[in-house]
Amino acid sequence: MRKKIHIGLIGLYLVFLVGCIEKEAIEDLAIITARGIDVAEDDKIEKTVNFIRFDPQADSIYGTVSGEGKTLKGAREVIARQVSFKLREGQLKTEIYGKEIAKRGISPYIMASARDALTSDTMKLAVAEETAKEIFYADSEEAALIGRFLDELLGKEAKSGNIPSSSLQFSSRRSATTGQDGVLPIIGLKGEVPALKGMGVFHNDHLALEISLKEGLLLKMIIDGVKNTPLEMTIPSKPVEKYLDKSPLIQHDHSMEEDVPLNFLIIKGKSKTKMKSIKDLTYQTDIHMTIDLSELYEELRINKREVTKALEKALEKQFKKEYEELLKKTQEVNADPFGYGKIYRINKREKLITENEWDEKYPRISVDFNVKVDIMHTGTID
Amino acid sequence: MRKNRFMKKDNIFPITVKDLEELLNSKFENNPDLSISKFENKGKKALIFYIDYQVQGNMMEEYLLTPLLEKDMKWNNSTILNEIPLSNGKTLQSLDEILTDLLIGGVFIYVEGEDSVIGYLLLKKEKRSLEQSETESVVLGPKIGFTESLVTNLNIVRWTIRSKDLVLESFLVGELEPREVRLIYLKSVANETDINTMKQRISELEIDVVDDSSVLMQYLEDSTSTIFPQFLTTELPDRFSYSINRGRIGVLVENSPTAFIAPTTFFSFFESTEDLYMRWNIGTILRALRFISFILSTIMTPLYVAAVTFHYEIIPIPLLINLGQSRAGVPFTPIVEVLILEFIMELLRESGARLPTKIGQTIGIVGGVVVGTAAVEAGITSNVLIIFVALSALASFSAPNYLMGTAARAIRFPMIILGGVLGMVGLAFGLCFLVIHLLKITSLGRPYLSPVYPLRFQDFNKALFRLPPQFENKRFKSYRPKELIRYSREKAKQKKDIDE
Amino acid sequence: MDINIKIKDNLQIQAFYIFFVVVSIQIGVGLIGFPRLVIMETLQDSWISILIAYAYIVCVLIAMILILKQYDSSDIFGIHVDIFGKWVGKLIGMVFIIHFAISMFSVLITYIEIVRVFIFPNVSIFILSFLILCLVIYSVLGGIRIIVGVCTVLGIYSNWIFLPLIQPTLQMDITHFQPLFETPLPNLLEGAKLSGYSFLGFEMVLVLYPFIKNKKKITFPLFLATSWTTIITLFVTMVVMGYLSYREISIEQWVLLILYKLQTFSFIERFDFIIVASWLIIIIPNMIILMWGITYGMKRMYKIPQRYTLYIASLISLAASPFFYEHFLIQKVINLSAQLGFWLVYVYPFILLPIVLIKKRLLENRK
Repeated sequence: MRKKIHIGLIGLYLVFLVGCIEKEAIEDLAIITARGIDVAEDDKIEKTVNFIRFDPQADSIYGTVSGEGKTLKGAREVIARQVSFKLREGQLKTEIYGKEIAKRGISPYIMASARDALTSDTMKLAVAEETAKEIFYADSEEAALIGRFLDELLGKEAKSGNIPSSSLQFSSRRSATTGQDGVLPIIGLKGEVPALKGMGVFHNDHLALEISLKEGLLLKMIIDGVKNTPLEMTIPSKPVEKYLDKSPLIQHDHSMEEDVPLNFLIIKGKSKTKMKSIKDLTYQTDIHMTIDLSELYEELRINKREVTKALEKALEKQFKKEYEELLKKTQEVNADPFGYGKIYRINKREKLITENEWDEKYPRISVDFNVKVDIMHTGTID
Repeated sequence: MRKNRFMKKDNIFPITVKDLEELLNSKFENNPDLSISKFENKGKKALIFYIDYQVQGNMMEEYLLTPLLEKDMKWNNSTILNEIPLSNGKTLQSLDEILTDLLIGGVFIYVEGEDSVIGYLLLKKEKRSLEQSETESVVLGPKIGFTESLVTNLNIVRWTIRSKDLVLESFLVGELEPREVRLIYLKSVANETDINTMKQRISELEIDVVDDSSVLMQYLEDSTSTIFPQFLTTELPDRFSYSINRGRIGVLVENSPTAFIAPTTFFSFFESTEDLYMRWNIGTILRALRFISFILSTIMTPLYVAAVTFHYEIIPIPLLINLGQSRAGVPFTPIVEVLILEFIMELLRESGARLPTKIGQTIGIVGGVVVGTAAVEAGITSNVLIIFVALSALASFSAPNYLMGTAARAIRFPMIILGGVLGMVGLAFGLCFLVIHLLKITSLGRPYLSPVYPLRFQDFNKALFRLPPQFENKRFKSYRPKELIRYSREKAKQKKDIDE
Repeated sequence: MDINIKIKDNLQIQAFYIFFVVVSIQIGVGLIGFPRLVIMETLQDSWISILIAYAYIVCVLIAMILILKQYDSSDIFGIHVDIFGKWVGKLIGMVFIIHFAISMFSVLITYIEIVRVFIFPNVSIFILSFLILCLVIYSVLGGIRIIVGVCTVLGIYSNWIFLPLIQPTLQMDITHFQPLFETPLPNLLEGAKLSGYSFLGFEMVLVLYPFIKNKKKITFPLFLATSWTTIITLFVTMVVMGYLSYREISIEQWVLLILYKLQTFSFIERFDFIIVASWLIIIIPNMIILMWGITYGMKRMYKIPQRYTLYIASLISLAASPFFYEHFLIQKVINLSAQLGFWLVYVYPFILLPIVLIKKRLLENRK
């Protein structure tokens, strides 16, 4: 009997409590999937959001609205006044920073998102080529559902190894680690369709340098390692000239062009960095990759081991050159996306170093890129 | 001493034939069913009385009346018992006993001056023939079901368990209308404490009428307030004997086709004898399927309510869009929507079960398809929910035991309310409550959640999954059988070398 | 009050279940915030701190078992009365009960705070604590066997909860662990002390001891339990350390839950919601044992029926919990609980042990 009273009490109480917590039924919500942040006039921030709401009367479930305010919260209020649904950010998939904002520093926004327990840590971050707003309002189907589109696009690209992962979790980890600077993809418009344009390298949360997607891949090889990623590279034709197919059976241009474009698939590429001398700040980075050749534009006959050897040599040289150029570029703006600072810290046997200490040292480091390329397969043509 | 109307031993004999006739007529309120005939031979008067339609008429004529009247013998009790070619004659003295036997088909002869009557049970019983069980159906294995006749059932049990250890103890329960209850167990295997507990519970039961074995079961169970059955009911002699062989105690009640078995554990409700007839690996998969479907049927719609009401964050975007679009036109909050649909579902099921099989099927299909489609088109529910509700209803049928399936249905409603009030936290609360509740239940004093708690690893391969036959050489330790070992494991799987 | 008590046969439990009891009381809300505290103190070398704490706990356990072994079948309350006399003994016993009470209360309010931060910002504290306390009352009413059962069944679940950390485990940054062995000893010890709060709970064996059927076998499950908790704590701390950068750890309050945010499945987008909700399943055994300790202690010392203490303690907790809505106030309670636990569990046994041994020696000599 006593038990029954207990159970009855609980039941009664629950009935009593219905409606105690604010309900968030999905049909009442405008679920924000993408957020863009731009600089507006008078020190204001302009926020653009792309959301999903389930309005049986509307043609599309997607909507885009923007508003200005001194702070993010202020801008949010302005936006909320234009939408008849409850705005919720629990499904935020993408956040795009306008270029100006990125140059001023994105740390406050990242930290605000990280602090909010409701935001997802797998959301993707990106920098707009010009302003975020223009991407949101582009006249294409992709732009209308920009949140989902970019989430899938950036997720796919990161998975296939073209760019370092741009999720909030990784970005905030990279930028929060002393001795490493963040990298974010740059999104621009191709016609009216949003597309991946390049990579932005940050220095202490400020956009410092824009690099190409190819350089992004090189960077990724050092940060994460890559797997099954296609890459196109041009090598000078000199070292392989003698292996050109001279057979009279086929017709070919008589003079070889100066550069040979090569297209290949990096099956596996990884790197290992060690510090050679802490005093001279010299590093050695070993990069090892195994590749499959997939396209050759010249009539090279790869029928001997020598040919692949020569190709490997040429590729290694080319990679080394490009890495050195990339390092030089980053040193000019004092941004360290490679994370050489972490290795410096470990070798200095110190638990933490300050950003300033590494800022002062980074331009002076020298790295010996030791690239090794193995060609595994050359396709079916001998 | 407890008073028991039918146990009274009042001797009214000797009595004159005339007085007896009056007495019987007064007891039966001059009911025309009672046939009383007087005979006289060599100055001795005799009275023969019986209820006409309860007695096999030709048997009585041929073996009782003919010898009695045509043979030349002295009429007294001992000669009559000797001379009449029926073996089940007995002498009775108490009027109550006489009346009880009279009702079920006894024929009584009273010779004036004797101090007791002679009674023969020539009962005629209308019963249905053996059929396939309706409530529990199996694909593999014996399909015959128990019937309403206790004698037939005992006959079946004797045939399925042909062991000399089999005990079929008889009890009479019910004071107004006593019914025979049989306690069935293997005395070399079953646990004595359990037997004694069961005996004590049955013999101490004081009720007027036992309506059915499932009613008796409710009187005997440990806890009355829970929704979980503590004794296992079955209509399959096959399943019954499986349990008896493993040291459990079975009960059969007269006029009931349902037997029940104790002690049980929560997990034994998901066992089917089919698991044994299948290969062990297939059996394991099937049992896992049943556990999963039990969990699904209790948690799926509550989860829907919790997610759609509070936690839109946990739904992946593509699913969210589908859900949102179908929810957009629905005028109710998710919890009301789910409760309405679950109610319709239960309604369909209930009305389907009450109608004759053929109409029931039609109602099921028509109701399911028409009501479901119409509800979505009318915008009362979302189509995603229809799938969830239908799936969870389907899942609740997969439990081999009907009572457990019903329990799964009953758990769902409080869970839906919890999910609708407190979201995931409410669901976690509900699950905790359920686990604690299950831990508190006992069956014949044995823990219900065994072998998970108390932990008995050697029972896992019987309760949760199955292993190849050579590993199943032990009985359930949870039921504490007298003999744990069924057969020698080494002998069961003697490996031979190649080409031996 | 009897020093040694005889427990009825049907209330006794197998020594094996001590494993589940200790694991389920050691793993609780503390684990969510714990990695941050220890990492802030010792950084890369947190694992050393945890191992130091583990080694120390092994010593404490040996001391506790030695104390208990001096008596046939007594618990901490009986031993106190035996050694310090009726008044002082009961006073110290009371301190233990207060320790259990504060621990239970801190578990309750911390969990409610986490729910408020992660899932329902507006949920009423009163209702949540009402529901949780209902569960506690419901299971404590079942007696010790049900309580151990709840620990066993739900304890099995609480080990499952660490499986969804696979994704962050695979994406750890090894450089976060380097360089090794750079923390000075004082910091390591401070880190070990911080770990102490997370490991609290095994002192329950001092109360449970008379209930154990095969008392000789208690050592193995006890050490297995603390080792298992250490492994889980170590694993969680390592994943937090390897996955998050120092600056992130220093600003996050409940680092462990951040890791769950990363895990996604095709049908579940966010795992942290499920984890926060199902953390209830972890704290329920936790609170049940503590509550049982309170009620049983009161019965042992003052002969108050357990039912009364249960209802009164629940009512007090229920009435007090709505006042603890502020983060820093909750932190204060946790710190108080940690302080009390530190002195009572990690220091006091070493004071008690020599006294018990000396007393026993004296008694033997007198004979």
